[in-house]
Amino acid sequence: MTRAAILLAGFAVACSTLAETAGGDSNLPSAGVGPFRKLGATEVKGGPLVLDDSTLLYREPCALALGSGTTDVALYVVEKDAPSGHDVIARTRATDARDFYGAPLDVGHHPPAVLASDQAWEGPDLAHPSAVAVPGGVWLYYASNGSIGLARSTDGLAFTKASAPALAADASGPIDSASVAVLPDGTFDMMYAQSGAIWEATSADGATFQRTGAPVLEPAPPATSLETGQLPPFDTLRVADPFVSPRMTPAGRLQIRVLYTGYAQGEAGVTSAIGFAARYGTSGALARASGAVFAIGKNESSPTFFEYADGSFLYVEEDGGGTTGPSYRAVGAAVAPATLVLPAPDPNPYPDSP
Amino acid sequence: MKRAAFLLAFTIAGAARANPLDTFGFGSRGTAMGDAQVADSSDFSANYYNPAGLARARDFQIAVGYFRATHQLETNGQDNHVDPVAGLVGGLVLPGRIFGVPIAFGLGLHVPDDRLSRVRDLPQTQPRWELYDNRNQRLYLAANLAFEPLPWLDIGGGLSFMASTEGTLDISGEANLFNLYQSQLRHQVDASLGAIRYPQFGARVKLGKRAALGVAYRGQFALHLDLSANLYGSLSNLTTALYTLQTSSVDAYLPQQVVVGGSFDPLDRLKVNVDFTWINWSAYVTPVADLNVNLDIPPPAGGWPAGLTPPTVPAKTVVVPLVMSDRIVPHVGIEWHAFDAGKVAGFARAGYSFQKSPVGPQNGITNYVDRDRHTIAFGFGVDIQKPVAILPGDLRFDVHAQFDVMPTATTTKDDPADLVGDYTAGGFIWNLGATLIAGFR
Repeated sequence: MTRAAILLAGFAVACSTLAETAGGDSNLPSAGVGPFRKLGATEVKGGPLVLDDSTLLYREPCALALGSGTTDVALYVVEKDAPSGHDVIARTRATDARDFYGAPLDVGHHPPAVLASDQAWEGPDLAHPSAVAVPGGVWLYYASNGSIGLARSTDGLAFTKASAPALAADASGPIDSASVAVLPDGTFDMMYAQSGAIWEATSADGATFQRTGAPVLEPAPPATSLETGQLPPFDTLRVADPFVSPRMTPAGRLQIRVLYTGYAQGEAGVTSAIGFAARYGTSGALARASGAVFAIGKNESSPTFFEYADGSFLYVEEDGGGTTGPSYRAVGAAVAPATLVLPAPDPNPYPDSP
Repeated sequence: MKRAAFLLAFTIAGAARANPLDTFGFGSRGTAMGDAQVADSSDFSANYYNPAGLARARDFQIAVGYFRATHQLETNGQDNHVDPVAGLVGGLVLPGRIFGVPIAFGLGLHVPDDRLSRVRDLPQTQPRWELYDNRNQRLYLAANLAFEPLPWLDIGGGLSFMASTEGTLDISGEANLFNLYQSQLRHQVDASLGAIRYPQFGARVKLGKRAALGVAYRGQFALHLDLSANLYGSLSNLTTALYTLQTSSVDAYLPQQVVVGGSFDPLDRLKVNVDFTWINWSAYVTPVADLNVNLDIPPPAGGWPAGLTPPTVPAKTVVVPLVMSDRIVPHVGIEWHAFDAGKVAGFARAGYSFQKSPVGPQNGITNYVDRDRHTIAFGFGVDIQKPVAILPGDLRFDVHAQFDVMPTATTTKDDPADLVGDYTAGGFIWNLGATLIAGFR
């Protein structure tokens, strides 16, 4: 009887009950740091990798948003300089955050080198660029010979280096990588990787940094027991490649967000994944999220991201090639929220300049 | 065929938590008076507000109406596009006498425009407007019987029916592990729509000609959602995978409610109603699914290709209970008999109610978004006696506008590495509608 009544009511309105897609999931709050979904092959022209060259070996990307809320983004990457064989820093750009100047199908272009080794304290290779937008230009931090250098530019393409490191190696060992951000009070905050942990240094002017003391993030302790199906921590071996991105939360609190590469010793060797750690305020240790925010099993590392109106784009260094030839390192991309549907790239999506 | 018909008329899209009438009222008169109706309703809307009121009817009544509630619910200043609730309302009242005792049978119905039922299982971390997102996307049907054993006493009761769902999803075919876009998978969904019943009853006591008191009880119910999924197929011709998943959750939970209130006529042309609704929110069932997963993927004869890691069964979710608090919701309504011109009478109405959010702090990993709710309503009605020869009763036409304000407030997270982070939430709901009631003497 009851079913019959409901059935009758159902048929009575059946013509008007072909429901639209359910709502309620739009513009949900997010810290902007994932979990991320790897871009599919159809979401990037010539994809799924965004920078892929077996000779230039693009690595260690750093994103710099070029507009507020838009997908216009510059990417500073390490590439192999063909004549010298040394690593230099190059710049590229995409207006849709996916199809970069100099990508494999952007025939005739490749990202130009904007920084190469030429200072006395530097080694032959530059690594791990960290671009910071400042009033009147872009400051580019980079790693070389275990220290962190600084180069300044008004257009993001032509840089002038400082003669001395912004943060020099100390007795703890070489600095592997660093990421710098400007805090709301105008001071500079640097997170850097050294000896398998992430440390912090601060600066009033961005030119010289002072270390703050203890590591802000160390490798996670091994799990003492695991539930069935529970994944072990992905970052028990070491943490590296910090990318720092401060923000004021909607509650008005300063949140220091850090993406990093976590390494663990697996049964088949060392594995990596991208993690997220954060803290409120200007000092103190970082708290880590409970799992990786991006893990695809391709030795992903060196995360960087930027936010736009609809979500966030993540760029990582990962294994490219492999199915028809030898594997090499390349730059891939991912997006959050994972449910975000990206429009297909334009027929000619590439910008005219880097 | 029957199931197929249901599938057309119904989408598995999104979690009902109760019934739409709790939020938007039943009929334009009650809605315009802030839902303060427990001691006052005597038309088809008594099927929801207080079944005892049906016994006051002396005419056979048929009612039909429509309302549309549009949400503007935001987090961080951006609209979350919570679906509107819209649909037909209606009912009938059939009065009579048995052994000289006035009795009445009533039927009340709300049929949503867009879907008869909606189900959704979300991760407990995903933000959602817990009491508005799916809560109201649901068919409602009530049948009641009332009688007047004494001239000053009305008693009534009956059952309400809500739609519940169970379903199966089958996926089979070949998954291409090397190029997911070349996977060939077939899907088959089989869902059935059932019903669940819960009781309601009430009483009304007349206190002279100008006052009455009422009390009503609405039972609790839980709509269980049981879904199973079966995946079977080849993985790039390497091996054959079998994956079965069974979920069980409470898709919709309506807490029991007790309403007490009074209706007073301090002036000849003025009616004032005051209700208090106790809602047992503390009994709310956490809407997180209990998952049982089995995965059987034998390794290929030559072992897994380099770079491929077979999936494993995920660990069971540790459910964080949703803590809610009981609430007493005050409702106030007034009706002014504005004019009386022969066969035509006009009425103006207004109402207000306030519900403090029952949802506990969301500073952990869960994100059941809710805010305090102020409801302001007003409306008009016209009652025409004997409008045409074939209708020797009366015709009443009522309209209403209900405006809900949910002041924006901030939710902060204890864990700085929370992937949702701090957020603000608040918004508005507009509910507009009209009802036509025809009475036959």
